[in-house]
Amino acid sequence: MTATTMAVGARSESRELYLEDVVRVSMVLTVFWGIAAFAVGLLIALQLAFPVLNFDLEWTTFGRLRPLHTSAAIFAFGGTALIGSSFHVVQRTCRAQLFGGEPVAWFILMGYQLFIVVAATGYLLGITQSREYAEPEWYADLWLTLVWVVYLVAFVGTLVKREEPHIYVANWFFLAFILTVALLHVVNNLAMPVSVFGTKSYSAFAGVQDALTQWWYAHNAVGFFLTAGFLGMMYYFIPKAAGRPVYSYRLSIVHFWSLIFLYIWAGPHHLHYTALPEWAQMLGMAFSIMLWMPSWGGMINGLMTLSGAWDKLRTDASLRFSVTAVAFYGMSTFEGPVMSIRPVNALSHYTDWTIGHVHSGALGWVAFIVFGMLYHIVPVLWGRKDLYSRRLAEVHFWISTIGIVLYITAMWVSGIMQGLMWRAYDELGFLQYSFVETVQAMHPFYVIRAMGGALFLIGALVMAYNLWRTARGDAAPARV
Amino acid sequence: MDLVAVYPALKSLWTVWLVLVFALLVFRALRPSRRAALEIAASIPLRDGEGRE
Repeated sequence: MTATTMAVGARSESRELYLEDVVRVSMVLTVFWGIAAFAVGLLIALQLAFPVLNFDLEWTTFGRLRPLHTSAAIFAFGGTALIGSSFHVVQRTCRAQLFGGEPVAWFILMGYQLFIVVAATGYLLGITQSREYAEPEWYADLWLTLVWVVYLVAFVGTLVKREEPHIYVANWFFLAFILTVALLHVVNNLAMPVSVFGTKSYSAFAGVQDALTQWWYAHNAVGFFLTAGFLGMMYYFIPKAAGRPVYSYRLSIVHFWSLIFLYIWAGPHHLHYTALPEWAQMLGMAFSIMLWMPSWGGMINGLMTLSGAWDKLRTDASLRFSVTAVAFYGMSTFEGPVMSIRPVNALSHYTDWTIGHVHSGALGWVAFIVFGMLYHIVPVLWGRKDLYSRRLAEVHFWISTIGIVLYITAMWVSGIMQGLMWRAYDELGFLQYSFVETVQAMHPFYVIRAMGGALFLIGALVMAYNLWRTARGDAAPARV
Repeated sequence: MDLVAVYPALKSLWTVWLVLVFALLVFRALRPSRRAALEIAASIPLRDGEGRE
């Protein structure tokens, strides 16, 4: 069967060919985890401004809730969105059902949910490896390894049995995400459990090697989980929503390979001015700066896909979120390399500037590209002509955008102020400020940040309502 | 001189090998004869019979 004959398949045929139930459930779970992640984020933001909200209970302290928030945002919300959308995209662009069929697809999705629940409950009980973005202990890691290998097999199997001669570029990005995360996860979590029935384990690495392994992992979690995977989303859903092919397919290939070649070396920039040898720090910095080019190449490719279709930004909620996401991607991939430059890092590291940078990526890029995907995919999966309410989607867009701006500007001011206060000396050569003075000075910005987070959460609740009504097939009243 | 003797020299050139591989990939993507095939590839998402339109 040729690609062309497959392409004319009507929706009813595609319903039989492709697995859609698992994708539908993954989208519901994505919305659920998004709201959970944003809500915990708001709580811990408020805890920093008002410590009484730690409630004097060990289970609800900032130290335990913070990894709950990061894991819920990255792995639960982002990961579930990636699994669901990659199933959707690989099936449609390969004109083939997911390899392994229903049982394998459900095992991957639900096995991954089990990992999230096991990891999250562990955090609250104080069970952690204390490795950023890799907090789950050995037993959860082993389970995730199994689930992830099945995911890799299912994805590659689908590519192998494809009817379409060419592997579309979105699938390259998804495959890079799945493959690299497998490698990162296995190496960074090499550890020896203290006992078979105990939760505690010790890393196979020690000292600066341990630190470098961890940041090689964590930065590439950003590069391959939070970037490559969502670029896969971008390369499918923006052309789909715009109704035109990606601006330059050649540029997408160069974008892919340059990102793959460069990203893996950037991790040492997290260890500037530490025991890590200086040449390794310089290597991390140099590769981070070089990353500017592929990142902006990808951004230009995403944005220019709209040339000739810019008017759709006014009417298509999906496109509006996706394009704003790409703009935030450009902004945060500009800011990242700047912060990796050693003298800049001397000021920014360990301050709120880093938190602001992470959130311009996480909220602006990751969450917005997911929202764009959701606004497109929900009507498609539930067979609706349009969203329940475009007006509500517009409300969501503006409320969230204002939330992000409040968040990142508050953190810029707070972070740079914090860095400057730490390094200020008086005329006698003593440190000018005590640590607690910096904390007091940051208080107003913590409140502004929490307000930004609250707006973002409200926006997500509006989206959940809109998508729920869309899925039910409700007709919107006039002017909504 | 056997392979073991030249191995360190070749190993130190890994950056050059990687750059060459990358240059090859870019050349493959950009050469004019691929234009038509890549334009067809770019339209894959638009030919899947899905959408709200």
